[in-house]
Amino acid sequence: MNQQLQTINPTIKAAAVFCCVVMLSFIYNPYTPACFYVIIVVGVLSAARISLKKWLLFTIPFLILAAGCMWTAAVFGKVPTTADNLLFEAGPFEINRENALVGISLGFRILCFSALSMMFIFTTDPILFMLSLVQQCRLSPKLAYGIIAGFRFLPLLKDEVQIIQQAHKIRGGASENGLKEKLASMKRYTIPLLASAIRKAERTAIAMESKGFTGSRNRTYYRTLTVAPRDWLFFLLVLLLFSVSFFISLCFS
Amino acid sequence: MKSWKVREIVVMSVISVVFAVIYLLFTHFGNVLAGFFGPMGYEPIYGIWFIVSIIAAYIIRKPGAALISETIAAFVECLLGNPSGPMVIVVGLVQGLGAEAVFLAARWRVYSLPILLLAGMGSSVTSFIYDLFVAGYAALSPGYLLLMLTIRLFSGALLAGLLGKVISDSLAYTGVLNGMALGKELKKKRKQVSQHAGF
Amino acid sequence: MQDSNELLSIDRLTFSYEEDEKPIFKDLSFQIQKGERALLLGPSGCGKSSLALCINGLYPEACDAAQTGRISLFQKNIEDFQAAEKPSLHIGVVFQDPDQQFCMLTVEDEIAFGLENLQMPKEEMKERIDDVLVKLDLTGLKGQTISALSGGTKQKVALACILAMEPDLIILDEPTSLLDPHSARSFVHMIKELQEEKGFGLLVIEHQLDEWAPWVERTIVLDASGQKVMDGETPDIFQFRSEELKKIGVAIPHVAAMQENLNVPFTLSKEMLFTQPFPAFEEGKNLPLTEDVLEVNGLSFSRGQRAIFSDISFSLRAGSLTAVVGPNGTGKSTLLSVLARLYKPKSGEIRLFGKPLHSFSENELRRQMGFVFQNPEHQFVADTVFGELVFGHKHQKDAAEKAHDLLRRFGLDHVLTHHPFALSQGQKRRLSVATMMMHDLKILLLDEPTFGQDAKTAAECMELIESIQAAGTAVLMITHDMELVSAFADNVLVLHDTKLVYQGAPAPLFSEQNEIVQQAKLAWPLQYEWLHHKQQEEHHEPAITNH
Ligand SMILES: Nc1ncnc2c1ncn2[C@@H]1O[C@H](COP(=O)(O)OP(=O)(O)OP(=O)(O)O)[C@@H](O)[C@H]1O
Ligand SMILES: Nc1ncnc2c1ncn2[C@@H]1O[C@H](COP(=O)(O)OP(=O)(O)OP(=O)(O)O)[C@@H](O)[C@H]1O
Ligand SMILES: [Mg+2]
Ligand SMILES: [Mg+2]
Repeated sequence: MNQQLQTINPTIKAAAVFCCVVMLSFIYNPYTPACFYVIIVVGVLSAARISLKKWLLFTIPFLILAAGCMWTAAVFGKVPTTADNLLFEAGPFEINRENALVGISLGFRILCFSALSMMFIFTTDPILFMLSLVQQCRLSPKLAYGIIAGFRFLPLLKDEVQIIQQAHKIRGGASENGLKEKLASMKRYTIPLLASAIRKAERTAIAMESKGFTGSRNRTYYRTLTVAPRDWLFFLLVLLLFSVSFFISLCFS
Repeated sequence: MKSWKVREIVVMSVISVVFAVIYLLFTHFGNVLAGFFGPMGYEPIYGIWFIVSIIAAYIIRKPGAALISETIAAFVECLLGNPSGPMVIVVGLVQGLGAEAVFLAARWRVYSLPILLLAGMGSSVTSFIYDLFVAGYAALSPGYLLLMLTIRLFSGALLAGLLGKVISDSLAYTGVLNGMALGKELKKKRKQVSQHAGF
Repeated sequence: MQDSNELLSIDRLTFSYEEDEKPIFKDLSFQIQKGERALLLGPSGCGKSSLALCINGLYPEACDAAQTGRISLFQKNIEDFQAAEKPSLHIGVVFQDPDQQFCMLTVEDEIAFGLENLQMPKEEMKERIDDVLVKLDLTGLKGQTISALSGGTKQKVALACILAMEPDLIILDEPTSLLDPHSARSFVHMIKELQEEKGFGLLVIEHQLDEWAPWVERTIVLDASGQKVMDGETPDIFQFRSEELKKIGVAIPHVAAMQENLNVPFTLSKEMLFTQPFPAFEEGKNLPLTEDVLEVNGLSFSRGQRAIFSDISFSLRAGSLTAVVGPNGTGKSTLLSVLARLYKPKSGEIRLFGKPLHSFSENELRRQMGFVFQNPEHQFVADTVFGELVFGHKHQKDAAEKAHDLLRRFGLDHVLTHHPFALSQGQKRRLSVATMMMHDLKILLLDEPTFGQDAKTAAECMELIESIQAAGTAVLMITHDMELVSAFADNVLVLHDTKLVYQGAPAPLFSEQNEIVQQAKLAWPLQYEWLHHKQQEEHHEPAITNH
């Protein structure tokens, strides 16, 4: 079972995630997203080799976000509070049953989104995703390879900031100790950082063209990506799991 | 994509990558705010997430620049680990559409400050419509929603439109954009000024 | 049409970056035949790299420059080439800056990228990639991320990408300027073997000619204004026109220079020179008897788990010139960064004027200590060349005057309004050194200050370094140029395998410590190589007569 998810065609994987997200957007009961969340987490952790620690670490920011959404929807929900549905009062706010349920639903919706996206990110090579978009969705190679070239810049970004920092040090720039000075230096770094990024981009473009790149569709691929029956199987499986959680929720309400 | 040069695409994509990182930082920052204040926490800083479309369109001046750059930034943000995953690509697409619509209305010819401010607000509108449905804002009360929208419009105009122009202009001043439309325009302006000075 | 062997023909080519500026090169014409090998020489900033990009068909389009004249490939104007059959598929360029030539993440994908553009079927691609990796001895790096490779290895990967595409002409733009002497030598030998096997045309742009001159038959020389001033057989040019070359600023091979000084018959090969009687040479320099300004005690540094250097101790004396040498990737630049307080050492102590380095305030430290990065672009902070020099000196009265003087000495006075990034590679290097000459420093740390320089500017640079040395500044300089070490340094530090394996005067290193020289991938300066050659002959001759 290990590494199974990693070999699914990236476009199909993205499409499956996309379908789930769209369907989730129409659901305001708390049971479906809650069920679905449990299913995804169990499924992903068993079908892809992702450590539990990593998963939890990445989930933390979403928990905060989910809590925020839950809170807002519960307090500012549009169902007016009546004597019937009043749950409890928190200071100046009155919280009623309907709004609270919607809040919980939104919270779990966000957790589902996060779980789906983590499933996608942890198991997909971005370059292969781009190539798959070119090969399966007829994305223009000019654009796709342009993006890949830009993507190459990502790991260099940290070094780039460090280099600018060092240059300012060496050339007698001010020392940055206080928070205020740090903020001021942020401003001083943005423009040089962007400028050097653009310069590198132009060089990369020259390198691409010097290797005969024209952006036309007439090219072969070293990494060919195909859609096999098992990819569709995966797609159907995801939809099936969603329907299962939907029917479970029907039993609850 | 025919009229685009490889160089322009790579430059646009690199700018998008740089801002994707900034976007993600702001996403985490916004999440903390939202944790305290609910979705309202996002609104004052919402404009920052449109800035790439303004910068790319203003620098490159080709149809599609706003839309595509915003989508790439969202794509990279998704790869870096944005909460909403691949959905953020759709968000980016929607935001880019808002700005692109304004540039389209100007026939991709005018890139003055008012147009840039409007483009930022365009993104505010489309992204709000999206949130209304997908993020479930529709469940919130109308008065609260109106307040959110107003703040977002301001944020879009200032943090995206105005700040985007300021950043692009200072970039053009360093000379890195000499090969791009904005840099060429600046060069032409300088030439005219020096000619006037000569006569 | 008479000459069907013609590969490339350049006809009255004129090129300028800005329409109303003086052209970089003007009315340039020459031809290259199929399978021909040629050297393209010229002073730094004369337009060699720009020419390479023009030939490749990338300029003028990529930079909105103005170009007139005609470049044809196989007697067909390169502008007439269709998108599907770009000139860049026939001409491969290995660029001067190793960070400038990649667009994919891994070695394998990068090589494949060119082949995909050639529309090669997948199976064939795999074969080609494996072939070329074996040929360049890079097999272990197939899946490696390119950005994590050292400068020299990147250059090799760039060559692999070009070779896999099997172009008809390969242009190498200073391919060895960042390599240690041993790697540089093996790189040239590898190119030689490949060229002889495959028979592609070869155009080499270089400032260090010793390895190339013996086997690249033809030489084309441009002068500072971009005019072609010589074009002919390599030996003829170095034999009969060396005076002119010196005037233009172009280096001549050390063998030829030495032969001239000693008045022995002309040759470009060391073996021929070494058959002459061994002359008397002057000894190297000795340390000045001044006090120490910087002391380093038991210094260690590591990146993650990997130790870069450990337990290093040495000191720098006022007015001395210390050279740091060692193989690529051994940690020389890292050592300098630690000394400049850009990185924190893992352990050990650095004392400046007897006080710990960390006790100095940032401003105080930078007033005393200058630093020149290995990559000149890393230290540029201003928008113009002139602004770069006066950065941080606005209040000084004579700053502008001093800046103009430095620019003149470094041959940068005609580009003073340029953006620092819009300079040639050698000009960037000189600018970065010049910015540090603006201060009155007590310590100057230089990371390869002379790479990519022609003979004249390199000499000018060394002269300036000697003059600040005379004023009492302690200079620490990383270099791969052993001739420079033996001529100028009074102290050498050899860094190898995390240890300082030698410190002391250069003469004993080169005459006695053969094992260290070999291990640390150094080379002997010509006079010492000659000395060893003689000694070996003396040892061998009785052995031969015994048989
Ligand atoms: N992008 C650019 N824009 C404007 N001018 C440039 C640009 N790049 C180089 N130049 C100028 O063009 C001239 C030729 O530069 P080029 O890089 O071709 O020199 P080079 O002969 O390769 O020198 P080196 O030996 O130092 O590498 C230089 O004077 C340089 O200042
Ligand atoms: N930013 C970095 N991140 C990770 N490793 C690095 C980084 N910079 C350098 N290294 C590694 O540290 C080691 C020392 O690098 P350093 O640049 O100091 O070598 P060097 O002796 O200056 O080599 P060269 O002669 O090629 O300039 C190298 O093996 C290199 O791979
Ligand atoms: Mg050059
Ligand atoms: Mg180094």
